[in-house]
Amino acid sequence: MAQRTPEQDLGFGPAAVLQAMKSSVKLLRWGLLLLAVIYLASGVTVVGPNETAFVLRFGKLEPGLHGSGLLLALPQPIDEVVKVPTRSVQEIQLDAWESPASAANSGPLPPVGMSDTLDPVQDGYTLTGDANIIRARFSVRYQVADPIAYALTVKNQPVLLEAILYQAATDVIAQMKVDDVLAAGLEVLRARTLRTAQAQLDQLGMGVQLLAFEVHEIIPARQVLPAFEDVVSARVESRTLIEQANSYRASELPGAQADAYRIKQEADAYAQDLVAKATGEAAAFEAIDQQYRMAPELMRTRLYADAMEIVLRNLQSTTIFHPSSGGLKLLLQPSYSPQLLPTPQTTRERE
Amino acid sequence: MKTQIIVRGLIGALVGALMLFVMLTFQVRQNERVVLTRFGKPVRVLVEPGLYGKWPWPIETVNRFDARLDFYDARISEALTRDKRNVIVPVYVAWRIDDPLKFLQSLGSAENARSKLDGLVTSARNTVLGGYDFNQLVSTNRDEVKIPEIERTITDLVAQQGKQSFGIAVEQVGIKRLTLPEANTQFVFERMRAERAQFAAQYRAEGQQQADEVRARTDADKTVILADARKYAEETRGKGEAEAARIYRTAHEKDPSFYKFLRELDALKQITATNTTVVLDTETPPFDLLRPALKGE
Repeated sequence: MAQRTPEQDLGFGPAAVLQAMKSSVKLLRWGLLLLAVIYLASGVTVVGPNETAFVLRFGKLEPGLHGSGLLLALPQPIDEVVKVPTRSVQEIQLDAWESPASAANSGPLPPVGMSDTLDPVQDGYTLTGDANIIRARFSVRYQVADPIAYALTVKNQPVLLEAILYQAATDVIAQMKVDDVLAAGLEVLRARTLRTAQAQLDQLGMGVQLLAFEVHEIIPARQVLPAFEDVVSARVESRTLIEQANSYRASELPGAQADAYRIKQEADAYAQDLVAKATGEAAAFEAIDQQYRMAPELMRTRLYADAMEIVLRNLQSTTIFHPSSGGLKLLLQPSYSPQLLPTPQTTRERE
Repeated sequence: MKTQIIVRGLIGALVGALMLFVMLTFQVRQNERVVLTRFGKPVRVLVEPGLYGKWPWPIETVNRFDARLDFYDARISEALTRDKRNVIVPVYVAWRIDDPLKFLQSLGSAENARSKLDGLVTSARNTVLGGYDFNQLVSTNRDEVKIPEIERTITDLVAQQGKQSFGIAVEQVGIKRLTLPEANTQFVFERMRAERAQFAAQYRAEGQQQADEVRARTDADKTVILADARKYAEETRGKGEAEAARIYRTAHEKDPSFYKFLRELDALKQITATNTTVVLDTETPPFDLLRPALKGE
């Protein structure tokens, strides 16, 4: 483009064409030189901060690994630089045991009867030790430990890695009870799967170091999910019942203890009251008795008369008769129950 | 002008040398195996990496093979265990080209290798699984599960045949999942539901039982606490009464007749209330004061 613009200005005369050719040959020469330099420098490679590189010279492995920085290698047909991301942690999601049918879990359920089977090709699942069907979602994090082994042993590393993890998980789950897999044994599942898979990788010499195997979700098949949920709710119900009973205990026992305390206190108070009263009355008696001893007859008369005053004032009626009239028969009749003793004789005699 | 000719000549020679180099040499990469054929006839097998010479193209051809481990997912099919249970055990194969010459002659390409492997693996898997029971695949008893052993046996079987017939080294046959034929899953679901129902019932019953126990124990404890308290109360009252009685006795003993008199007066005051009719003789004081008047009547 930069050459054409002056040509158009000069027109198409033969002198102009000659001049243009001359200048373009000159340019071409410089261009060739530039290309040669670029080619010679093409072996120089930047190894990224997370990478490790090694060199194949005429296809043969050159000893030594190169960390991040500038790597001075020879141009292409001689040297081939292979870069492997050794420092970055890579992650693979393992979703094959959670097929689209299961992903539609949250949506409306397919018609009953149609859905009561699982297609072994489409639906991902495996069997537990007690032959229960479970589905799961995992992920694995790994790092390249040996870049040469990683690059030169396996063609499609992530695919094989994935298969090996499924293999390890299958093996481990086939030895566990479904309840262990779903709950308490999750840690066991993770640790054993990681160990089994790492052993397998080492045996194949893949040069991969597994860092973590995570279980994101592990559930029984959708078809039996309500049954499993019912067990969970039964557990909750059972725990609630026990909690209620415990709180009944917690509320009833202090009440009973308070009642017991009150009963004891009342008894104590009663006893103390009795004793105090007795002590007081005894003291009073002794005081009066002292006076009485000084003049017994006088005191007796006074006390008797005082008592009579009170007694006789309260009475409804008083009948006084002479003992010498003799032969008196006295029958008392309670005033409000005449039907009990309706003898006219009594009435007459009272009159 | 002379230097220009020299430079041009040099460039020409360089380009020529480069072309010859490209035509007459080839590289074997670290992970590759090469079979050199002359007009289709294999003449050299190259396993070691490096730079090699050859006759130019129409005469000698380079057949390259990637010798790295390759991955193959075998097709899914049903198999029968020794105890006649239908299972579907998907497996994968990790294999590589070991003998490039045999591989070239028998298969030629990785595509062909896959279909051959499929047959090999499927028949080996079915043969081996027929020698194991279902509960050697899945069992809650860890010692019973023989999956690694099954995998090893299949691998050995496939590796032997692959090496002999195709120049393939099979390094690993792995079981990826354990599944059942679609029709069987329904029965498994029914069994699982029944199992769960049993668990649920058990949990509920256990919870009820424990709760009942706690309640019963609470009621019993309550009764004991209250009974203890009542016992204490009775004892305390008794003691109090006894103590009071002792105090009264100690005091009254000093003058029993006066006490009797006082007590009787008190009782008299207490028992005579309104609405009481009393019949007295004239000897009773203070009515004895009235006696002369009565006599006079």
